Amino acid sequence: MSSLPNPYLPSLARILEVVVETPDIKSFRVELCDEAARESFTFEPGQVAQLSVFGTGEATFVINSPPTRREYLQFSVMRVGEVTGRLHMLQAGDKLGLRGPLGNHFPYQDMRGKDVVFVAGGIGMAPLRTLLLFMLDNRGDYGRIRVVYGARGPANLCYRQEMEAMRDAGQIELILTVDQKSPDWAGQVGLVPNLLMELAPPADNCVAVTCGPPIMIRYTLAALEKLGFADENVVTTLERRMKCGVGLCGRCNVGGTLICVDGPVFTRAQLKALPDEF
Amino acid sequence: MSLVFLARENLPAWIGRLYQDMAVFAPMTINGVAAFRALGQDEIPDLSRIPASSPKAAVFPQTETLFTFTSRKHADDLSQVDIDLSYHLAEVPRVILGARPCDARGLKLMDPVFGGKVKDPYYLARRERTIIVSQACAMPDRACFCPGTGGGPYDPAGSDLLLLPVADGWLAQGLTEAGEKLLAQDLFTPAGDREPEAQSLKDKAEAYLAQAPDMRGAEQAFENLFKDEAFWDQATAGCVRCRICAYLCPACTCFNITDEESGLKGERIRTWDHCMSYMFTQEASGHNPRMQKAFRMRNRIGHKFCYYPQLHGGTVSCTGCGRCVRACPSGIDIRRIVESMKRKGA
Amino acid sequence: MSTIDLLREAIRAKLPDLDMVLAWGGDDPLRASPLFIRTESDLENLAAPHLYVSNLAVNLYSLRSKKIGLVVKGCDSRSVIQLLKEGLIARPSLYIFGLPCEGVVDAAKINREIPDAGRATGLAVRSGRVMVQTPENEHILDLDAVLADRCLRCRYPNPLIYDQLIGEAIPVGEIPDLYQDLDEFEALSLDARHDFWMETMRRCVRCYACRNACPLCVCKAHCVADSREPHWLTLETNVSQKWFFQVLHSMHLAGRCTECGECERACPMGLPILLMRRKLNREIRELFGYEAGLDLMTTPPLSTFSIEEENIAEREL
Repeated sequence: MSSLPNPYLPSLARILEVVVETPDIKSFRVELCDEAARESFTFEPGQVAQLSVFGTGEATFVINSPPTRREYLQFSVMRVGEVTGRLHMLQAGDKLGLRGPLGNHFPYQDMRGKDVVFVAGGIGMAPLRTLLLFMLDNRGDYGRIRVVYGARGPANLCYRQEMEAMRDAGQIELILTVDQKSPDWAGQVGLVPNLLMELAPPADNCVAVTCGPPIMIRYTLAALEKLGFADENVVTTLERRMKCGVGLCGRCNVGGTLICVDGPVFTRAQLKALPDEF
Repeated sequence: MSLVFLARENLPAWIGRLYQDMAVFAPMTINGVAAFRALGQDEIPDLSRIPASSPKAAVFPQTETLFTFTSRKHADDLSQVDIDLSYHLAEVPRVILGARPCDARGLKLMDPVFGGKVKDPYYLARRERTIIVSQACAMPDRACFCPGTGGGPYDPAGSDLLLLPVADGWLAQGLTEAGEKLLAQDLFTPAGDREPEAQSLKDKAEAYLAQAPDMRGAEQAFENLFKDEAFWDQATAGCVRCRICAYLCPACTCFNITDEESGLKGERIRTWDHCMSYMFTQEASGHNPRMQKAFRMRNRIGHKFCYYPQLHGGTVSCTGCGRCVRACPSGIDIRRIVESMKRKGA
Repeated sequence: MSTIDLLREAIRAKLPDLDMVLAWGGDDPLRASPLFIRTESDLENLAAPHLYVSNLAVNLYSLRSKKIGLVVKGCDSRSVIQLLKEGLIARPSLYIFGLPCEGVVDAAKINREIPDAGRATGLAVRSGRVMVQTPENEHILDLDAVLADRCLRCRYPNPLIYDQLIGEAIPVGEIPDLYQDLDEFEALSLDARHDFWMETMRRCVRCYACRNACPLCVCKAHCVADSREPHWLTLETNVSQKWFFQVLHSMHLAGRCTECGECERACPMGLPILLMRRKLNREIRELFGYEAGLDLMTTPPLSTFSIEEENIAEREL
């Protein structure tokens, strides 16, 4: 074999625990089987990895446990297609392939000393969770942390208990919302961008981080603009159908930018320089 | 570098000797269509026609195994499964014989993709073992436009050996050490005074292509026209979304990765992919950033004439080989698209 | 007036009522390309009728929300009928210019006959001869030697459906033996036929031009060949996968295919894949007495069933 590293070859990983988050989202807590690889594995908040179910294929997920917590790597997976369908059938003890870390990361260094507002919808909370937990683990570096998070209904909210505990501990300010009224929900009802406008976080010395369905992101970006957030203080992640994850296969381009290596994290200033094709 | 002469009747013997040491990829004509393939023993290629396909499969096969996976269940606990992964890289040396100068350029365009920051070991293993013997194009046709992409019908760039056609054979010009080595044979004789004949064919071929439109320098025009949906609609109107243009292209490199399994064994394969397919950017969530074929064509043109050149010093990801033009069932001509793009987007 | 002038004037007159008119144009002397006529100036690009090789009906399904004018030859009209019959397009959004056709030349055949055909600068058809001009030569070929295969066995030179006929209908000559080529092929041994298809599939590049150029193939991105769920085909380009796809495609067209030959014409490798579709079509003719695309009234045999089929021997009970 050649001495070149093989960018396509996954490492084997073992599922330690499967957490059912919502009716269609499960979180997989995994560790690399090889102990040396496990020890040397480092990543930055926001980086992704490719998970393999051998025989079905590979898909890209953000590592949504923070690099500050090393007992496992967590991936939250919504069941939408072939690979995610097979992933959902896996249990603790099962093996899968892991290639990563891949891509860039949240510019958390630039956020130090600032207030942060997280704006998320549905599974879009998954990539933000890694940054949120990372910030809590370095709480002194950041100012006020507000979270506006919405989903279709109460059962579709991911990490709800975890976030409510953070709120109760006074670590974050939390607004949870659902799209429609329901008897088991006493909280906010309404679309995320609207609640963001009501919350109206001051743009001064504040960074907004947003992720969710494309349509939500679109309206959220518009809302943030209205609230006076400068483009370089708005951070989002882009999704694209990826295959190789290392900048070779050509599927995830937006103009000359490849989401898999140049992204998935972009500031709004960077997005504005890209062709409008997402 | 000095030229030597290979008589047409000595071609089979030469190929026979090459075949002993390496895999030989060359165009075979069947039913009037020449296409590159790995020759079998005693198969004689047809170098007279412009091959319908490019030889890129010799270094970037249409399907290749990235690795195999085997599951092993523990006899004492069937829920415990070990997974073995294994892969191997090409070891057999190969020669592409009868590539055209546009094909050799195509490989030069692929090199920075697969050998850039992240190295593709599969491609590089083949590439390092590949010798390119090109035949200069004495008879370019109306679909050819290599000079418009920075090449030419006699362009030596990227070839190890260039065969210059003359009436009864070829004058061979070694361009690299690997190419020179192939000439160390009694089948080649001194070129004598044949050079002017080859030169005159070269002049004619270059004159024939003098009108080829310049496909370079369209980056700004592309960006200016990005949002002009009517332009892209019109450029794509006849497209039936097949994969001919990408599969025949000597420069297209986009690929797909899928798994196939049977029982406890399987493999992860890489296959050529095609950007005109709806599936290319279809996300599992249902979202597709390029729903319409016009958007996909826009990306195709953008990739070749804007994004790639922006990353690679202005070089377009097109060699002017004309294969997409010749074979498009709807007669879509990439020259016309780029020409009108440059005109309209200026 | 010549046919092309008649056609141009007919389109010019109707163009204001239509979103676009599909005809043939371009500057390739050996074959015309689909021409999407939106304005009068596009009419200048109309090509000569013997180059109208493609079947424009392939575009109808994806343009079904628009008001389309379409020029059809006899063979093309059968695809339109079949699409209408299957409810894939609607008659009111269609205006059909019917063009009686004396046959179209097949660029692939010309390429096989003339080494420098790729350099052609002009082509003319005169009294059974085709003249091809290249920078160095003037080649003269028999028209019959370069007519598209489907023209050699054409039974419907006049469109079977139209709103307006361009020029005069052509008298239908003697009908040649429809399936002589298939008879000859089937006379080969099983091994010989197997080897023929395996070698043919070896050359297939799985580009799906045959599928996508087919006017009746409307599944597009939902084709099982592209699907992982169900996962019937892999993406491997080995002979068995390619063969599987070709058989699937042929089966899906059984009783729907009008033998327009676009699959074969579109094939960049020159593979004789229409033969497979014709085989199934002959089976359909023999079993059900049915031919696709001839009328709007009958039901395609594989879209219906009889409790007891006349020509199918049911298993003895």
